[in-house]
Amino acid sequence: MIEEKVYSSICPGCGLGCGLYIREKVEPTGDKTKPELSVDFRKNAPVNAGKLCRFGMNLPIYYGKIPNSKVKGKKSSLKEAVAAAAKALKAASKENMAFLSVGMSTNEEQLAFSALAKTFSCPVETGMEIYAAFPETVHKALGYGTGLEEIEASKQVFLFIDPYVSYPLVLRRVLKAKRKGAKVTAVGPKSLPLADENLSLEPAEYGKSLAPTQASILLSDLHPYSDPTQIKAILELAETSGAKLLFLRPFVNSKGATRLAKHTKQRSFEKLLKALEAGEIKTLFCLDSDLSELSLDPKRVKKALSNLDTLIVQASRSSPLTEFADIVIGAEPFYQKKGSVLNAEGRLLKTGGDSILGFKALAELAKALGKEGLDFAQVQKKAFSSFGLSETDEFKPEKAKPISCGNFELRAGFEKKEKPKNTKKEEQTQKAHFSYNFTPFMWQGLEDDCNFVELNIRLVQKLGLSKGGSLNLKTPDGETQMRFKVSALAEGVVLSEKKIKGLVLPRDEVELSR
Amino acid sequence: MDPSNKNPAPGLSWEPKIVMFCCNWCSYAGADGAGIGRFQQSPSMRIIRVMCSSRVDPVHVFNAFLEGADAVLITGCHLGDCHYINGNEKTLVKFKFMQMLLKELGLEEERLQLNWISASEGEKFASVVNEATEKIRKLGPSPLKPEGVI
Amino acid sequence: MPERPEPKAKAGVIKVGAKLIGWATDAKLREKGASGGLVTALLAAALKKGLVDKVLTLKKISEFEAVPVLTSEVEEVLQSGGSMHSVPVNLARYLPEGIGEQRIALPAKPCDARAVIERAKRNAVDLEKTFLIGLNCGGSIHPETTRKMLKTVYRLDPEEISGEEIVKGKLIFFTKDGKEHAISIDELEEKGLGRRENCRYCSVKIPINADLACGNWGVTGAFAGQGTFVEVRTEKGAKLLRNALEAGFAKVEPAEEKGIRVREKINRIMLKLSEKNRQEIFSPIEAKQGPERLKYFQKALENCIHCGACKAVCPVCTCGEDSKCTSYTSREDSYKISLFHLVRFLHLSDSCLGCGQCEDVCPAEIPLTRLYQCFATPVREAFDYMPGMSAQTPPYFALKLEKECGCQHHGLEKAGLEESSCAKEPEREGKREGQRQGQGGCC
Repeated sequence: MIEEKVYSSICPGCGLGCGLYIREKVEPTGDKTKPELSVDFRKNAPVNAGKLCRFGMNLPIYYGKIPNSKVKGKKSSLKEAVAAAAKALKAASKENMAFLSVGMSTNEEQLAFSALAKTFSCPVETGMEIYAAFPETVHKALGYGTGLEEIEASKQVFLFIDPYVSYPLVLRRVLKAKRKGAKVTAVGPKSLPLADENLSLEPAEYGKSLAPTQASILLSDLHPYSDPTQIKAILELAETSGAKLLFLRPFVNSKGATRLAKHTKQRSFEKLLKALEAGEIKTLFCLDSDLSELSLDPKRVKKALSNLDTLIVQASRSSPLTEFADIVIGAEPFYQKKGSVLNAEGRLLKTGGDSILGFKALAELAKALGKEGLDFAQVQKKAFSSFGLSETDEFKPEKAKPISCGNFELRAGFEKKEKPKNTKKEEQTQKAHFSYNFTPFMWQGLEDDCNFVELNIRLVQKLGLSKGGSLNLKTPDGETQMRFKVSALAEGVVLSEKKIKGLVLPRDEVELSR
Repeated sequence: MDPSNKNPAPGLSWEPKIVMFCCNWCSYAGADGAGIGRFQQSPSMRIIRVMCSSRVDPVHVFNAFLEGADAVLITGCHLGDCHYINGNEKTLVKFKFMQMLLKELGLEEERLQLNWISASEGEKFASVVNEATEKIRKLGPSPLKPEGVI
Repeated sequence: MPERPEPKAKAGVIKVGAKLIGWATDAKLREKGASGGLVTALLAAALKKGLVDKVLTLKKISEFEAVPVLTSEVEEVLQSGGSMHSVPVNLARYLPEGIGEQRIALPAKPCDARAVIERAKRNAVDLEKTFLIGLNCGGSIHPETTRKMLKTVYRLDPEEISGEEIVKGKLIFFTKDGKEHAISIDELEEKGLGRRENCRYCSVKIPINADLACGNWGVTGAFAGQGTFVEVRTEKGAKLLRNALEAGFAKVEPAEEKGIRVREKINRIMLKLSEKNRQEIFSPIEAKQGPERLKYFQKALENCIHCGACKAVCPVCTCGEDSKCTSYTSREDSYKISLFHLVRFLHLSDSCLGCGQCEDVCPAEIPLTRLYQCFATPVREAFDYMPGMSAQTPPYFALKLEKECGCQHHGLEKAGLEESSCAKEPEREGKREGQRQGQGGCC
């Protein structure tokens, strides 16, 4: 008989944490480590009403790669890997260590990881340097949550994200609001079919071009590559108008992780890379965070990581990082984990599994380094209380709070680049403004069927491109050939949902030719 | 269909573009016959030869429309004359379904046609081509034609 | 629980066509399951006596959530049951793929039974080994809608609900304090709540395509609320019922004439309402002609994010991962209308059941079932073919287009495609000579 187990799980694809069932089948004679998985719809889930996006539908592939524990490139047991990690950590020097966890694990693991890092007086990094750009008084407002239901109740929706690709389960809420008569304004380079007006604006123009009211909601996202100038402009817009604000997040526990990390001493991936390249970090411990998937320049990451003495990775799925790590602690896949995550709306969700293998490994490591007695139930309680909650409740998102940050100056901003001027029609090359449209596939390092960049029809005509042909993108770091898609984009813009070699800044200039 | 041709050279205007599927045994030979017999034909056709009209899948037809065809003509052997016994009867079933679908979709019925043309009917071939072209010219460009395609 | 008369009926009354009232012998089951617990008793008996290897049933999690599970445990079957109007799931997809050795019984709403039959036609299910215990169905409700209704109309806390029921057009919720709260479904639907849209215009309320057709309509007299009306539709159904009687799990009694009439009347009323709703929903679309209609479909599909959930959940799609609708579609295309959906419109035009699963799971809130039905209705009318109601070959797969006379040209003629071509190939239709004569010489 084939045994089937049904997990009432959540999707690890983005900060929404959509509810779903994972059906796990293990054939009696088959490999227990390679169960056959399928996704099923959990219609009672309040976040998504059972609906899933392309990423959610692809979860069996995402979960398909279970990592083996490894020590120095050799397959080992979990126990051996933990012992080896403890030994390596004990030998490491405090000054040259870093701990990275962006929020792809549970609150409980995150706290255990923090406890471990604390034995070295190290913070847990989440890659959210953006917090460092804002004064501490603003951090709280950045972390506010609002239920997706608030979107439906709004009279006006301002989209600073492309919900179609970045956070698809927000789309239906906006559509429902629209059906009730709300006006939808999309701010960005792409014309969205659901928007009543599409505006391509610079953050400096938000104040004078957009007029939200108290019955409006602003939807943006906060991720490791967010532009602080834009985030500041959105905060100001929310504060002056009294509109509700929801920042969506790229990782399932982004919010939990950043809250538990308390925003201390965060470095961007770029700065982490620089530190690695300069040899300032000698021991790196990553918890479910693959720097080469998260970075826009995987090649550079691989090179930088070779400077390390020891790379320790605890992972619940295999990825490029688990390939070249010195020690891999192979934990259970996310859907099997017992624990909680805090989603972007501020709902405390159960992850739905029953295993605490990953937590135990971290607790054991902490114990080896002098932090005794990390008990799952206690750690969970501590996590909940730090959010001001007593139990998981998927039906209770955070209540929207008014934004009040007062006047503040950014400590650091994005490097500004001039918008390229359109060159003459006859020329064979065109300069364009390049930007990434981040998707769950990009953040989670899952292959997506989008071998193309998007351009508008006028740019396609100017370049003389024809259907099925490819486009040459030239950056200072080299050239890449990509296929293209005709989209309703603003003039002189190229958009991509796939990492492109050489395009390491989220917004950059690129030279196009046929 | 080249999207770069959106702005045609001055003097060029829209002309119907019709994708025509011809079966190897009858209607394609009919096209040859039309040429040999020097029957005047409109240059609107883009002929795709298939071994049997039943090879034409609805996907091919939809794709032709979505890529910018103003009409699609499926042609094959007369019923009973199929080289593969009953291929054209299967074509008939598929055609019927496609026709109902396009009608429901709101596309003009004339944009999808089925004709039986034998190898000896060169003249009929030419007249089918001309009639279809005239009809489509009157209807105008297909509403499914992508942006930038003429 | 009133005293029951000792049933006079013996296993002998159980034959195809029989209309009976049945109930579970176990008092606990009668209480737990809806209307006498017969369906649960049938499933449990089938498993216990080895008539089937497994039962596909819904494992209840809460009033608004249940998970389909395939089980061989009698205990688990006894745990299932209840009306569960807020669990709109189609069970057909949960049957093991392919023709296997397993015999499986499942409770089936009309759309479940129709889906199983359509899957059997595509060789994804072995109908001989599948036992369909049909359940009358007046419609189901999406749990998100149920919660919304409770909060905004009933003004009840969803956590306080202990059960629900639909009686005489009213949706009744029972709260943990023992109170009943009833509101008419019409009133709810006027507010845009109530049943899923496809259920409102569904045209099969009694699962006459299943092996047994069970339900509480037509349960009269002393049995009201305590028994299940069951119509034996097939020999397989008779076997199921006899098995339960022999196992001592259930008892039956011939249904009263009055009950039979009541059941038919309820069905008629429901179908009439469905027809009215169908008109209301579809006439605005039908009124659109030509370019306006095309725009309607383009607009309806503009928000598609190509997640593929509609296909993954579709109970009549047996294509698997590499199918025509997906293989020829690329996200690189910027077509005026999605090729994926065009292909699916065509593929489903002779098989869409209107079960609403696609619409339930669409993240872009596209009214997919409505769209598929726009294309399925003309096909159903032209060929007089209802998918999932019999073993008849779907017209698209038939070598010839057939209508009642059995002649391909008749169907075409009816749809205005051919003028009169029936006489063309008399020898081809020779086998159907007898049939044709009955048609008054149309061919």
